Amino acid sequence: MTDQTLEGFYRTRFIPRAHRIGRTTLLVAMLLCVCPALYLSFGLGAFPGVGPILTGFLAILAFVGIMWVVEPISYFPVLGVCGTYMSFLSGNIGNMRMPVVISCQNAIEAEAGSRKAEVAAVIGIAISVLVNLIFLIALVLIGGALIEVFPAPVAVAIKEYTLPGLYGAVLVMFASSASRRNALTGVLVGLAVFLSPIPEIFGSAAAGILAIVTAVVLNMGRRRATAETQSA
Amino acid sequence: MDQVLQIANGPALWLLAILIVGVVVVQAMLYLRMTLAFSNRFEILSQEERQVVYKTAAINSIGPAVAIFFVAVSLIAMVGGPVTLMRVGVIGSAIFEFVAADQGAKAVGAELGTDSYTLKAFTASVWVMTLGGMGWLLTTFFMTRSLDRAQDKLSVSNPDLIRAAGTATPIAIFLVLAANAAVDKQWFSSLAIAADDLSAILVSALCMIVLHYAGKHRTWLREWSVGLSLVAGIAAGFLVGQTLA
Repeated sequence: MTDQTLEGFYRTRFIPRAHRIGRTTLLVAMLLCVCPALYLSFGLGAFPGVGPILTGFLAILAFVGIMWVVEPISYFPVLGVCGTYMSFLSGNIGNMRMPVVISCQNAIEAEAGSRKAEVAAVIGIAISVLVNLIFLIALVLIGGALIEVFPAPVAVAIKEYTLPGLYGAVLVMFASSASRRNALTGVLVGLAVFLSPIPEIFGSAAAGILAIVTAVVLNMGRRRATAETQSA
Repeated sequence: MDQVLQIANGPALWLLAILIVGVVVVQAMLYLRMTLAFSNRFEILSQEERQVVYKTAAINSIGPAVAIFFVAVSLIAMVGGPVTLMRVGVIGSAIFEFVAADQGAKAVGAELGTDSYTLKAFTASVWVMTLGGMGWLLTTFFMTRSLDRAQDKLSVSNPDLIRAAGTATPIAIFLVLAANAAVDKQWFSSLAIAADDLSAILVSALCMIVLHYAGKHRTWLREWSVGLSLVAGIAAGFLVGQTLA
């Protein structure tokens, strides 16, 4: 493949560059993220000691430790390379990046898994990262007073029902872009995880991994089956 | 507490917050530029399609951004503006940051938002939030290349599998998220359905189905469909919640 064809260019130029940008920015971000803690501890001498930090860390490790590994895997099929680097740097994946990705792909009727869908996802995520930051910066600059723009009941409604509302709409959107067979697989896996004793906080991550595994198992078999019928 | 907030909103932390947010912006811009160049070179998206994607992304980011905003407001009161900006702007799920800040404070015997929340407690909060969030950056840093390679290999030998994984996975994830939002369950012991959350989910899903068919030949409707469904869902949840209360 030369880099003159779309796929050739994608593999030899686009993707290596995407990894380079992603890894460099993540590395810089990791170094910068530690600075506030170091500054407070040693610049201002407020180091609380290793003990309390470990105690606090272990308390959250129980529920984030698994997510660290499972989330990048389970969101990867939708986010892709650039999308994964961007989404895990900026966060808010289930409640913002995923809805934006599927809306953008849907709006231009891009088929899941196509390069067109991937381009739409990258543009969509980049825009959503910027919009989110604009909102946050406005918030920290103008302050909580901004929230008084909303009448109290509206504020309560937004706080309580944004996530459920988002989940309903996004679920339908993903279902409408999938084939009937794949949609059914997703629904059955989701139900199985929901009905199992897996704790709620691990539910979505478990569903993601199980769905990937199921898709692999189902389609491995199918490929072998078609290959056999062809050879027969 | 006041002294803590003074430091928490001081210039040093502001500078660091701006730098971190800067990395996020630079990364987004680099990917945007690179992808637009790729798209133009091979004419993947037409001019119009690109405009549609811009608009759709902007419109559909507003709803979630407002919701994040509401959680961030309470976080600001506890740990100040800069830390909120860097934690919620970077790898934040605002709720996770809350728990992390709280656990950090508790580890030194303090409580968020009270006078016991000293500079030491604040520092402990920041450490726990930082280490907690670092995990995602590390795994993404180390795993993305292998994930890409695995997917690439499979997409050549078995594209059906990639399509199945890419479409079935988000359905399973969002089904579980929706079910957990509507149903409060303890396995085999109790089960409670929150009628207000359930109606928010169902109404927005229904609205989405209608808009999906109505939007087949109307691009603008597809741009707005998630936003409109979200508003309908929030309204439904609120109305049912009010009637039951």
